[in-house]
Amino acid sequence: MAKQHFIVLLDQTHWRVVHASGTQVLAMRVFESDEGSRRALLDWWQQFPRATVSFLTNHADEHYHVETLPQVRGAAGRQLLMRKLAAWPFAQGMHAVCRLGNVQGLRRESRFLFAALTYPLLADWLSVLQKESIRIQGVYTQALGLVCCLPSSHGLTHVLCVQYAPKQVRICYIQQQRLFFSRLILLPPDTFPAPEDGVVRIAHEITQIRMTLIHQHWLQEADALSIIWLNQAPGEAHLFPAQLLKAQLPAACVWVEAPEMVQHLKGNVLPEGLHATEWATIQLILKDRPLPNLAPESVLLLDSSTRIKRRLHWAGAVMMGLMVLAGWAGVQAMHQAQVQSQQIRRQLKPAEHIKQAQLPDVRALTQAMHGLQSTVRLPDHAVTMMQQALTGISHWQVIALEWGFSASDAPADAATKHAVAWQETLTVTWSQGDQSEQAAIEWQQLLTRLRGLPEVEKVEVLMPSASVSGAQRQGNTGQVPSLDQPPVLKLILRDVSQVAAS
Amino acid sequence: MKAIHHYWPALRATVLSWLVALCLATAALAIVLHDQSGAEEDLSQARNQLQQQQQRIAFEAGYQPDVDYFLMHRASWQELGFMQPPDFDHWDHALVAIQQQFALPHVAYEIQPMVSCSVVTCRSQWPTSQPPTLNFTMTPIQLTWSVSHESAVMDWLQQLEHAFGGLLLVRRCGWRLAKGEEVITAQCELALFNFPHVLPDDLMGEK
Repeated sequence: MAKQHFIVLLDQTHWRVVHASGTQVLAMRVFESDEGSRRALLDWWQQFPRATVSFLTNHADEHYHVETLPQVRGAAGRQLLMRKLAAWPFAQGMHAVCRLGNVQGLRRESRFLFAALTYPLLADWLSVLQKESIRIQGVYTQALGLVCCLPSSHGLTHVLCVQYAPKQVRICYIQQQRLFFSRLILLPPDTFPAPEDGVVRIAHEITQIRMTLIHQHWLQEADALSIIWLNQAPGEAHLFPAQLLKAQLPAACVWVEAPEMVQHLKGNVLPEGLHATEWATIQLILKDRPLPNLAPESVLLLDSSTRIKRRLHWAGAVMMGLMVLAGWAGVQAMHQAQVQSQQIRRQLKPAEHIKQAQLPDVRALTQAMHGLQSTVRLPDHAVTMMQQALTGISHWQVIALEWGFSASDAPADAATKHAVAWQETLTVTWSQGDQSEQAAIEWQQLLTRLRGLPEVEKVEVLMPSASVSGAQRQGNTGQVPSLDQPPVLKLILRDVSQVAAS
Repeated sequence: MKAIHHYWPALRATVLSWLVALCLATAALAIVLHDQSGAEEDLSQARNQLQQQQQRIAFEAGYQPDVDYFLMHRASWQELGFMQPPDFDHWDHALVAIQQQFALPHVAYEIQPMVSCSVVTCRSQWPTSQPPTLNFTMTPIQLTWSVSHESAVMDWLQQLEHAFGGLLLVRRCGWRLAKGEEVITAQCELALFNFPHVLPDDLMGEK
């Protein structure tokens, strides 16, 4: 919804109130300045609690004063200005200060325009409005607004604007787009019955003002003063006085045709009951352009605090939004990180508690156990083999059997101690049943049978004294052992795994 | 300062409420960001762990068959007491148990004091060409039976070997027919190898 705005055009006799929404004028009403009218006005405004109110004055009680101050920077300069302003008798209620520029005299100086409105009725009513919570945007003067809405393309240095209305005329001196002086001259019909009388008065005032300007050193004798006639009278009534003044222009004054204010308004239709300059100034107010504001700060409090509140809300909302955004981004990033780490942890296997440093020991133990397990032999294989070899042998009997599994006695292995091969040996001690030819034959058969077995690597016939002990002894395998002593056979067996492989 | 003094009463509620709201939001944001940084840290930790695991797997690939074999047999080795010094009571029980369970002939046993070995000292005691690089102990055990047939000892030995996971080294067995009697005196020499405390207890697990 567009912003509701009431602009009170306040002049000598009556108040015109423009009700605008955005830059669109909704209504215009005219009120007297008496108590009842003000009451009615307040009732109207209270229907729009969010609306703001501005005052645009064109009143005889406006005062303008140019003050020249030495240029002092910072807080000291501001204090100096405030002191000067306090010394100005009109700076008690509604007033404003505008900087006009610098002057290079003996020393560098700054020029300020002090503007004030001494209108007790309005001052009192402002405090009433404040109590009624009406938002007051400002109190502006048409003279200060005029400077802002005059077309700048004229390029004139010294301009005297004459705003003519039937009962009054406002004369403003504008130097390089800055207002230096403004004055409202009343032309009451009883004193000035004919327009000619008014024009004479205006011409006289222009001459007076020119002398004042020269006296103030704002204008040199030789400078031409451009006169711009701005009409505020209804209909064609102003044409005659304008021509009259143009005809009897004071000395050193130049007539300049008034610029088209309406064109300056960029196509906005001029509402009925408003003059072009007023409408242009209203536009400035509606568009929130910076204009010198005469309203005391306390009066503006409600409006400006509302604005500040709005800005605070905006700033807070924006910061909150940013934080929410950052928080959301943070939550997203966190979620993603959590998902990723979950995925990674799923890939992680439960750590086996074998440390890397322990692995060589584990390997050594494992290899030792494995080696042990694979080399362990039981005598059953050798005994079974022996039993099979004995089938059919009747003349020989085994009286002692010795199975051993130990390091090889071979000299080759002894030389290379690093590769000691273990082998199974079976030492058999025999007793002969009877001494016969048959026994000798059986003995040979037995030897042949044993030598023919794939498991047997070697068969040795040992002397009986060497039977049980593991001492190395070489015998003759071809002979039949002597019969008084029990013969001993030593079988060296092949590795079972090698036999299986071959 | 004067302006602030003017505006403060009108704006106090707004300013304070926004300040409170923003403080709460800041706190919430701080919590979120803290959590997020925690999650990021966790993620990088997980990545490190993964990388370490990959390195470890690459390193352990060469040891994997040994580790598998070890893990497969660890419990039984521990149970059979190979990882401790030989427990003679355990042996007593084991021999008696086998005796009763299988109704085998009586056995007399003699367990000799254990011998501590290193790689160098017990080379001749170890049955493979490459003795273990670990310190171990060797305990000779002698068993003596009186049997009617030599194969009776075989079952006995098989049971014993089975009970000890095939890790009992039989070094020598002898059978001798006693003169004038129908019994055979059988005698076997066994070697029991133990690896006490070569690996830390936490790796071996509780007994």
